[in-house]
Amino acid sequence: MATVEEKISIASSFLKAAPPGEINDVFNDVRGLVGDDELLDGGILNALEEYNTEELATVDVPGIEGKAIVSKHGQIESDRFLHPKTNKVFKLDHFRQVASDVQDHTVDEGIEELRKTIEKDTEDYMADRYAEGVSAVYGSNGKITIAIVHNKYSPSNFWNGRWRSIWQLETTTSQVKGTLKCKVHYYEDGNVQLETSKEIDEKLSKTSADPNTAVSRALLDLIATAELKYQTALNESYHEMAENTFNGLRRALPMTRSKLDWNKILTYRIGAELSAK
Amino acid sequence: MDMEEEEVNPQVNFALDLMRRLPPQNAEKNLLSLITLLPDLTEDLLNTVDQPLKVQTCAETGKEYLLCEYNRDGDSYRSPWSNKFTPPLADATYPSARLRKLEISANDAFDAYRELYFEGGVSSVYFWDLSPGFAGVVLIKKVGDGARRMKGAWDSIHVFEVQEKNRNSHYRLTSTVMLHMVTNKPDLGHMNLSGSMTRQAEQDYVVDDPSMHVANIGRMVEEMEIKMRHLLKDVYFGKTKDVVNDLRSIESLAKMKKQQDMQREIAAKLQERQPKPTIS
Repeated sequence: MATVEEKISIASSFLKAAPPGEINDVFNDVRGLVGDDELLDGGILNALEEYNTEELATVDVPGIEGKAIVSKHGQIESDRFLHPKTNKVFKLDHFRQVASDVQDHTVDEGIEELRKTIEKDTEDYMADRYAEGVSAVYGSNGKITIAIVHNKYSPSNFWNGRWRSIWQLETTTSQVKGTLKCKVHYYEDGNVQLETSKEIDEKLSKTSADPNTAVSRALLDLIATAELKYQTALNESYHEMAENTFNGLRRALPMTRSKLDWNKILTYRIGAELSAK
Repeated sequence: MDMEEEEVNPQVNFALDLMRRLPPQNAEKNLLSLITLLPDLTEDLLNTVDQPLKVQTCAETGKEYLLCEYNRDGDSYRSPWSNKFTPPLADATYPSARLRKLEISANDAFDAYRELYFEGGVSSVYFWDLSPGFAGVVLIKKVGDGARRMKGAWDSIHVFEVQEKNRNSHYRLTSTVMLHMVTNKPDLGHMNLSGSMTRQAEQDYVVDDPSMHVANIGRMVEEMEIKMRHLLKDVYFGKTKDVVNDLRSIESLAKMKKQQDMQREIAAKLQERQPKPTIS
């Protein structure tokens, strides 16, 4: 029998691997497999917190327009998250992904003007590339973090997808770091998944000596260029896989371009066997 | 895969639903976790959850063969080439003499099939007696060479059941293909595209001589692999690509909307220019 620790560790790893939009389905399966709700509910909070912050869960917050992102970049306490645009902090129920108890937050004035400018430009960029995407721009200790997430769920057609981008600007060094991640699950009579990740490290052409608008413009230009380059590489890789990798594993047809003559193969083989004797 | 319609333990159903959702590239690790969680269901889980095939070398012939539940007895596996178990077993179950003869010829035929389609890899065919009829499994594994920074693996498992009725035989085939492709490149970073799917087919063939079974099974497996390769390549993988490009638009959405508006405007103008019907 598995120990309590083993059960919790296994349940947690299953939950953290849940495809986009399927955390509840995975939770339901795990619940049925473990068969001990008390043990499960007491042990998997950390896994759910990790899932929500890593996968950039989006939630409705009372009094806030649009969706709010849950991320470790806005994490004040294990269950309290910042919504930087309104400068409010909300409490999150990691089990049900429900937000409540909205409170004011103290702004990091040193970077707030730049943050606001980048927030506006990020929103424009989002509207132009991520139809229903959600973004958040955080600023603290001289660092700007942009979180982008776009989910598309279509369980009735057996597919779900998630795009995540995290971009960080270190204003003192003008260093920009990006992480782009995609997850797609297609499961109509099967289970096919795409999982990608790409790290980017570049230097911004503008520095903190330049006006905020110029820094912001340069940052969003860098992001747009890098994301387009990445998406193009991903599409090319699909093409190469279809052309080369597939054939390298299994050809569509043998070199002769015709299917096997099974009767002939058997006779040939038996013939070879007889002549060998 | 169990062909019998039995009452399934509800926990096995939860396990199957879970495996349908979790990343297929982690199937092996996830199956181990399931077994740790539900040790009483070990046999059921091993029989119902497909996992990538393992390769072993036949001590007697030096040829490689594939391991699965169907050539396992205790901790030993039977080689299709020597018909011997490793580690050796004192009291093991073997196919009947008649079936072993068919098994040898099936292994030969699928060896040729594998070479022509896969140009490498390993194949193994195992038969077992049913009363009445017989059943078997065709296994093929090919691991890509990692050229062009793309690594890949193909595993196919074809389980079939044959019922002989006079000159006619009825064949039931359940095929699973597991495909795994990983690419690492500077512009792309890391990309993992993996999947598994299962399909079934049934067919009747005339059998004048037992040796014809191998050709019939061969045709069905060949048909099925062609179909499943096409589905995975063009439908399943294509779908994930479409979703990615749906998540992020490679074109400016504003520009696309402008173009659409312009087209609509032109269409409207063209309609205006049409001579108005005169009412007489």
